[in-house]
Amino acid sequence: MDNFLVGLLLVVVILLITLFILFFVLIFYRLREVKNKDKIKDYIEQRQDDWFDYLLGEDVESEALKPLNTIEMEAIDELFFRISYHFASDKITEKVNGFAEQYMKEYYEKRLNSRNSGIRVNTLNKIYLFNLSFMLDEVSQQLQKKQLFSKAEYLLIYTIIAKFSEADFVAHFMNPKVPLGEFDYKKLLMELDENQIYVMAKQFDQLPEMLQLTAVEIVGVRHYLNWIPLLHHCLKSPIQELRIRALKSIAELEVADALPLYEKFSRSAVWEERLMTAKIFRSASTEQALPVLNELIKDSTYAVRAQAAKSMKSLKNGQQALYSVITTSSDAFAVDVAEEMLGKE
Amino acid sequence: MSLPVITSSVFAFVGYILLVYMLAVIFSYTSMLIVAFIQLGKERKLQKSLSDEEAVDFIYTQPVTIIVPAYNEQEGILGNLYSLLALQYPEFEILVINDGSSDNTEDVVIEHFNMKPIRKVVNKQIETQPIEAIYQSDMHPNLLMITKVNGGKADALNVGINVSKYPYFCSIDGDSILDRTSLLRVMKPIMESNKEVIATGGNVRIANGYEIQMGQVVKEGLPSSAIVTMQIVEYMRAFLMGRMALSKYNLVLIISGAFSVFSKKWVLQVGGYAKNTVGEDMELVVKLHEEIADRKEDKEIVFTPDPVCWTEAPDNFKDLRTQRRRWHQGLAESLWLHKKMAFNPKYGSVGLISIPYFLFIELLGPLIELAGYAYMVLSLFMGEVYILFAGILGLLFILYGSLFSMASVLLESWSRNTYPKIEDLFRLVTLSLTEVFWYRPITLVWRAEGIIRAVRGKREWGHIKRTGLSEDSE
Repeated sequence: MDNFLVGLLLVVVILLITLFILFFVLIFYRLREVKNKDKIKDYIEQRQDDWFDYLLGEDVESEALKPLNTIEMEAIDELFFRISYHFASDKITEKVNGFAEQYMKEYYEKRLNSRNSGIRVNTLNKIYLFNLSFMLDEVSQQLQKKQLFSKAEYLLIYTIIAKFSEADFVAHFMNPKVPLGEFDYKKLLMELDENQIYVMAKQFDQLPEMLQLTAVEIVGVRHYLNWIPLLHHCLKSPIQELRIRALKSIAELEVADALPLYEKFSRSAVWEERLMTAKIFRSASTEQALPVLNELIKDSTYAVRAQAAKSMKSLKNGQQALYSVITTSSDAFAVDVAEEMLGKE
Repeated sequence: MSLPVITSSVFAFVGYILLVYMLAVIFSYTSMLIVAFIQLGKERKLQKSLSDEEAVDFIYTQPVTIIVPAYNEQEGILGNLYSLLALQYPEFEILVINDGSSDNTEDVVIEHFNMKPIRKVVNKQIETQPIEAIYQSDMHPNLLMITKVNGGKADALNVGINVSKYPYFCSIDGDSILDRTSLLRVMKPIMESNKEVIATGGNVRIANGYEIQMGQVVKEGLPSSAIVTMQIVEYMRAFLMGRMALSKYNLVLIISGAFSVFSKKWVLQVGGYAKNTVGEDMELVVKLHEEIADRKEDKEIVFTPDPVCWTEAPDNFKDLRTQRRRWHQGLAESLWLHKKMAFNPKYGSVGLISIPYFLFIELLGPLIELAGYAYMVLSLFMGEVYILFAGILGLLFILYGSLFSMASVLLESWSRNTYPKIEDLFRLVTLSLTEVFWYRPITLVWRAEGIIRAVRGKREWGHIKRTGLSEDSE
């Protein structure tokens, strides 16, 4: 027992000493870190005018701004971040990209290959934010490595490939190294321009379901009016979620030229489809919309009734239509929702 | 066998049990600390601000209803609402639920935000106390106040769920303050997991001593009060030696009611917040775990360290006692209400690891620790052999009461590059070393009181006096 006690006492004392050593090591690093931060701050204060002259002016040579050490590179990197946050122009992007390629390529490459995943992710984020297109090859090479990355890293890599290359991205999107979900595909697709979406849509039926769903949603969010035929194609799909998303995007596009095609969804067994139909009909003429909305305002699902009332209100003479629901309808739920929409006491 | 011999063997037996218990606790805390260390090592260099911007786009996010249950919160409610209105998030509504306050909460909100009564159809999916009035702000149409008959915090939250129009809701205490990016970051795990995560909890931090204006933290600082500073150490410890590791393995049973987000669909499936406990936030999480297992779905509940919610900690023993008693009572009640999950393989790791951990280490810990303190005192009267035993126990207490706290302070400051300031760090370390001699024994007694109250079935929340965090409080 005695030995045990002594042993334990020793453990506690050693732990205490170790913690104190760690404490002082921490303070040492903290002091160093604070000092570096000050140096970065000083550099930015002293040189930011030169940088603005270089980025916004015409004849300033980059040579004068050449970084002399890592601290200066870190300071320039911080400046790039602030600039990317406040300004956006092709000229600035081009100059930042040119400067970084000439003087900081090694700096970014080293960071992209760092053992610390936080540093790698920061670097990928910066390549994306500062538009460092010269890093495309280096980023693509990451995918050849045996090393496994986190999903966030793969996503950033694919996003960068999509941003800087016209067509390479499709294969990566279709066969990603980690399973991707809706959020991930949204992030990727939001990067694409209309041409790239077109490249992808040509193979629409071969795309993974989640990618199809997201593509359909993006069409609505981005208001790609030329894509209505694709949305109509999706309305025939056996996949319920795809039909709902297609209806949602049609509602977002605020077009109502194929009403008979949409109207049948007002009798669908799926409430989300009825909801989206109610939303689509806010863009139709009052005569065409009222018969459908008058039915949907009596729907058994609250969200559908509320949307029908909202769509009704946005029609020409919509207020009048809502009054007529209040005064003539025998459906108490419909009256309630119409009153709420009119904001009546 | 003579009586003294029997007494002596029983005494030794109890001593061994205490010893084994302490070693088991130390082992589990050490493992959790290591998990936190590895996790933080990966993340400490990550600049999260780089990826905030893109996520602000509405297409990535789901709209959220923020529910603020408010009972006599006239001191803090304005600061709270200013901070909520300033949130960086594409689409959200704020519902202040005035739970029959007897102070001026209602008037303060109506006056400041120009609230007008409106008519609104409420889909009563959970049974609650009746709603008396609904107001909407003229200045901020996404701010609503619902005045209802007093029914307690759980009831107020349930009213909020009934009135809410969005698929996720976020519960926030009426006296807390959020950073601008907090909602975005707390929603991130839900979005990034493609909705596999059905609830997330943010990190609650103590803001006493901070300078706060119009609901925003202007300057960080350490409060002068030792009780509050000790609570700061305690929060760090709870986070690093508990939530972080538990969250990694989907074992979280407590996400703070002060700031958490839930999928409305799932919460409705389990019938909303329970009114028969003072720990409605924990009870809900346990209930959700039960539901996930019953439905055999692959869903997660996570704790996210980064999004921060600032709260006001009690700055005197009386209020701290009320709070700790209630927390512990809530823990006891939640575990009791879901006792069938304990050691039940049907509930997977939650039933086999998480619930036993909360039962033996978190809930019964105070009783056993108190017994340990009593044992040490008794040993001094029992002769030489037991003095040794008392020495061992004492050292283990120091290890577990103070050294772990010190390690947490160091780990925390290592993971956050420039906080706290060096002089503050000295203070935190020194104070954490004193924990075992004053703070821990007192809180143990209060927690034990919580267990007694749970057994006796007391259901009062207890009132804690607030002074308000923001300078602009009424």
